[in-house]
Amino acid sequence: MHSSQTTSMPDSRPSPFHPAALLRHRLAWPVITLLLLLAVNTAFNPGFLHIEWRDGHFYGSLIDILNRAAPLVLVSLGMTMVIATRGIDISVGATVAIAAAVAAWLIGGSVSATESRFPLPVAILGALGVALLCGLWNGVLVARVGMQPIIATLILMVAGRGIAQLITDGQIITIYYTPYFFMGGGYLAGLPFSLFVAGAVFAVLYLAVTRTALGLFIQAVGVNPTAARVAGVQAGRLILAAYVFCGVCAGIAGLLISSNVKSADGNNAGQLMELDAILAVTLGGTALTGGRFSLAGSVIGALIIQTLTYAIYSLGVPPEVNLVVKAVVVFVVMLLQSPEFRAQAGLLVRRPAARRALP
Amino acid sequence: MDPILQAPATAATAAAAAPAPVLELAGIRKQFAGVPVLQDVQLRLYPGEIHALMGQNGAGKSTLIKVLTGVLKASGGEMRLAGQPVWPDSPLAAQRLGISTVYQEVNLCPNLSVAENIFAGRYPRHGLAQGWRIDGARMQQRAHELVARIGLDIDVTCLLSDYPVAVQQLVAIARALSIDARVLILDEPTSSLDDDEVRKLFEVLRRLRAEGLSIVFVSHFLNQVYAVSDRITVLRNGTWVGEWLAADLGPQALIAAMLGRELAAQATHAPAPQDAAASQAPALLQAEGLGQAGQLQPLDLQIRPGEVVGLAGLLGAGRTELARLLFGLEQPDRGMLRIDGRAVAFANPMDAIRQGLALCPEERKTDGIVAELSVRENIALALQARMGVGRFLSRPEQAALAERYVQLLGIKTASIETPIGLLSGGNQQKAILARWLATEPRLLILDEPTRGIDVAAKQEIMDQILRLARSGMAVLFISSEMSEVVRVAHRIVVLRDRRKVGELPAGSSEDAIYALIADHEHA
Amino acid sequence: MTSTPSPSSTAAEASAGPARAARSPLDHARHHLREYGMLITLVAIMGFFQYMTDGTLMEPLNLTNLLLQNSYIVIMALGMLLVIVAGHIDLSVGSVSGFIGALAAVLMVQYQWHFVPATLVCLLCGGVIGGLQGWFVAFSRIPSFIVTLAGMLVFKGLALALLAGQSVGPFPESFQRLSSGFIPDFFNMQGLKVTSLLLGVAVAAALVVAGIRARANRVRHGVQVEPAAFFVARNAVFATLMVYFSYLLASYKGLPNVLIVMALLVVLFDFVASRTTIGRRIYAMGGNEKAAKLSGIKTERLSFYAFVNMGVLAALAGLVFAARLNTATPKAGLGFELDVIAACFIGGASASGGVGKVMGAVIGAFIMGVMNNGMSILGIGIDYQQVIKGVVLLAAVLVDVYHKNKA
Repeated sequence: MHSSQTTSMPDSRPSPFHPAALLRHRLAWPVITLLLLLAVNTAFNPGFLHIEWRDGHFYGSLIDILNRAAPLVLVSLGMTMVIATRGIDISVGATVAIAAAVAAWLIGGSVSATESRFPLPVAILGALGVALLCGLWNGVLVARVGMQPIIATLILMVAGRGIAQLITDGQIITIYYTPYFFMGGGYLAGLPFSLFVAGAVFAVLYLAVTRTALGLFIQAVGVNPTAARVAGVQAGRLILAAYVFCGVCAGIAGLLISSNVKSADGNNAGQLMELDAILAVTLGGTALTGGRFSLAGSVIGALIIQTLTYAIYSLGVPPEVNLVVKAVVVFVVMLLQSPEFRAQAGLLVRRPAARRALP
Repeated sequence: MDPILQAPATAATAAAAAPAPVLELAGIRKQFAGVPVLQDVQLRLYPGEIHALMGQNGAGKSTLIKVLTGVLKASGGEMRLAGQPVWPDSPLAAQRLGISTVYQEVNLCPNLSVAENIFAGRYPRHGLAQGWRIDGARMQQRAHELVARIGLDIDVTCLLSDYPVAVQQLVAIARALSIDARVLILDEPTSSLDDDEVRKLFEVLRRLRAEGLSIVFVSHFLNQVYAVSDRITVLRNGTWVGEWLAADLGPQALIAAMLGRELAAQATHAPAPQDAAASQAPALLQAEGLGQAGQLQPLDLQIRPGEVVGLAGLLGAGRTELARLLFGLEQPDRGMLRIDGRAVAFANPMDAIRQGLALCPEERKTDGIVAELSVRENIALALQARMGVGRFLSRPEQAALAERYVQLLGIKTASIETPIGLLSGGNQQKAILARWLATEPRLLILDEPTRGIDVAAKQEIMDQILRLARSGMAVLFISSEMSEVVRVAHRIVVLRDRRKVGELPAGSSEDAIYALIADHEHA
Repeated sequence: MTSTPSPSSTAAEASAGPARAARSPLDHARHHLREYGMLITLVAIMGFFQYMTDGTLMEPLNLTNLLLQNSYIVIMALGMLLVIVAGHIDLSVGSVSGFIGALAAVLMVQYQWHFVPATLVCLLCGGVIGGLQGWFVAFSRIPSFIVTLAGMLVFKGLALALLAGQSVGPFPESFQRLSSGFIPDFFNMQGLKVTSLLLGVAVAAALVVAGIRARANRVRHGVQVEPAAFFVARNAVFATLMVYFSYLLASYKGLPNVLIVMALLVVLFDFVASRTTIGRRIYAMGGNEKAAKLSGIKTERLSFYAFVNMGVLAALAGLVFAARLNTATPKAGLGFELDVIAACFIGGASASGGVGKVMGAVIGAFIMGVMNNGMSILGIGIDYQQVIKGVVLLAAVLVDVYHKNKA
């Protein structure tokens, strides 16, 4: 009987803090990228890392980035779950707009700073409820009807903007109700409240994924749905849940955004957010083919994108370049992840003899 | 008398006396990463004959076919077509040589018309041979002639998907013929056909044979092989066992040739004693007239706690289909299933797992391992699935579970965190077995659990199973290794061609099983 | 499908002679239900809105506008259909068309190029862009929606950069005529552009004659033909409608130039898709890539070509759109891809590839166009229009899923 060598030899393995081992860590490259971006920002803007206490809270570029990144972090977390199950959700931008519109409508267009058509909790819950319905819609189409995720979510993407516009009657609803502003613009213990919201969702998700069987099941479904099913995993329910969660995250993001800018714009809210989210998830190390995912990676990916946007602004580069740079980055990452491309690229650097020998 | 057993092979015996073989393979060798898959295999095909290629799973049939059709390149040996040495290096090259294949899964485009499928990639064109305008009328006419040649009278402008699988298969044959084939290879052509359709197909084959075409017929249905073939070549474990005229090789001898008579190696443990108490216990599982159209004929089955029931049969007999029905992966459309006397209907595996069933599947790569996850996660998966999302096996608990089974089954892995995809096939199999043992099932269905495992490990696994049976777990043991089945089973259920043909008690010999499969009366 | 004859095993019957009885009209209808269904839906929707708008829909002015408004969608749908049939998708077409429009503006307005070389350069550019994306999809095997998503962002940004954030125009008049011009009239009759009418009649006649000849050819070869009643009815209806619409258009300003361009392209692509080797190979590839490869079809190359084609058509659409607005704006092309993709799916394309007809995509585009137009006339807000668009798309995809599950 052969015994396995599992628990035995701690000394022969290299220390986990050895540089080589660190670099191989999944989060290594995302973290390095983020640090590089921060360095670039500091180089061009010496006051970048400066944080001071002003008006009862922390103040500085870093705080700003964190505040603006919170919605993207939320959407990226939701997107991570969907992508892990081999799916995709391109309707999150529309869901963000819908949630913002619902909240604004529930608060009402009154110009008074203290008057709201419905109590604030109702407005928040209403918006989140509608966002949940959006996610449920997507989930049913994918998990029960069996549509391809990109087509299924395309439908909400097309119709969703219209729905948001309908709710806001085609206007940009300005919100005057002050308690609403706390979510996206308020501070708690000196730090932006939105940070706590994103942090809370991250914490809940992290616990759910590591302290329950969710993480294991989702990864199993993403890597090999057939084997997971034979093992008794309820794939259909999981996939549905992933889309619902993604919808809710988009809803929270919508609340944060509209709270921050004090308005709900059915047309522009969440515009192109799905692309940013997919990019963040990819940068964070989760493969688009599903399976293993990294929540921390997605968070770092979202931060990278936000820092990148900030860097572009501070460099005085026109906003259109932002789009180009983002696209190029996504592209390069995909290329590097593609085995065919690596094979082709490898052929180019290998010696001619070796090139001939390969089939 | 089976109506399919009709035209004898006499017509072809004359052809056997004809001079040169149209296709000759000699000394074929093939290795995959140093592991020999084919060793010194030969095949001779004469004009105007139907030649059956037979062997169990892993015998090397599909590898040989792949070599013949240019999908794989042999590591050694030679191939002659009408006396000329050839080496097709791609399916296209094989086609150009006149070797045409019809695969088990109809490999055509369902969204195109019949005519377009027949001429895919070689459309008749207007004007120049290299022109790009398809001559639709001419294509349809030629397609119509081709399908007529095999006795099919259909509208060739309809989409392929409009027709049932049987017709699609005939279209595939028409396509194969359209390239002036000299050799036609049919790989399991009758798997999805009913008796009527099989009969029609065989008429077509006989007609083609009369025209001088050579046909290689790969199938595991004994009746069909005897109905239509002139010669039979048997492979086993990658080696050539022999070539016979079908008339000279009886079914029992054929089975023996395919399965071999390996004596049970190192039988250091005595066969499982019949647990007297178990045979009186009420049945744990009862299948009454359980069947699924096209997959399994209705059958009855009983399994008691502590019983090891062997399920014997050739490849394609329906054993895996039965396992899937019992486990809820497929739903029966006839009959009933009872657990502890209560009628149940499993909509999915989870229902079966909750009743205490477990299935260790045959195809570990597609149905078993979750390749990127670690050994620990794979072992814990089924147990965790049963416990649900809320009650969680913490990581140390998972690790302890995994360690226990790694020790118990001797799984060779660098660590329990190693991705299971990196383990060797045999160790993966052990890990999947561990996954199901961890759920402590009342009935464990094992589908080919010892495939790809070395002899010593096989022994360990079988002993482990016997131990579990003695402690009250029921086992449904599916294996192609008759010796194993005979050694451990308290009862042997025999399947053939998707129906149950009988049951044998413990202590029956392998001969008895072969006889039952060969449909002979045996004392 | 119960209407098709089951195979008989008597060879004698089959070899006796090629003449086959035409199918009964009911069988034929059931068989081609989906195709006819699309056409009937379009006619029904047109009729519905015609009624609801008290006849405004079919007024010559509105009809002309309808054509002009949807021309670029139809042009792009032709390319998108082939891409979808090949099993891919292209999300960048909106941005690419906007970028090419910007390029055209810069060349013609800022650098004073003549419109012919400028157009050619723009089309070439579109082809190169398509080729670039096609390369990564076909040969590096990166999922098409990622490549084209990236493309969408890149060209949106490049268009902004090229225009420096402003609108550039107006275009030289010769270029404007592409979108807002009409075919010349050689008879100066009052109130009716006779040339256009005659052209319409001529084309209708030509189509009927071609149809008759094709049918005769098939009958000669003993090939299945549709029942005579159907044939006559279909051609009669078609010809009548054509003449009628030509008349309507002739009552306004005649046939728009862009309609001629569209018509030529539709005929070309319908032909390529259904009658040429390259077209059928794309369908084969979409239906079963493995089988196609085994038949010697070079699937990677076909994917590549499909994207190059898409690029050129997107460029053309960009030119048409810019010419219509007479300026190139940074917002040009926004959301086009969704309309184009929706048109293809409404027209019967399948998300898994291999299924879809060029005429279907065109009809799908017009269904959406008529709905947009009709709803605008009725004063229905654009938001509702978006929602309804989504619902129609949903219905189309559900039909596709239902068909797939039935099989």
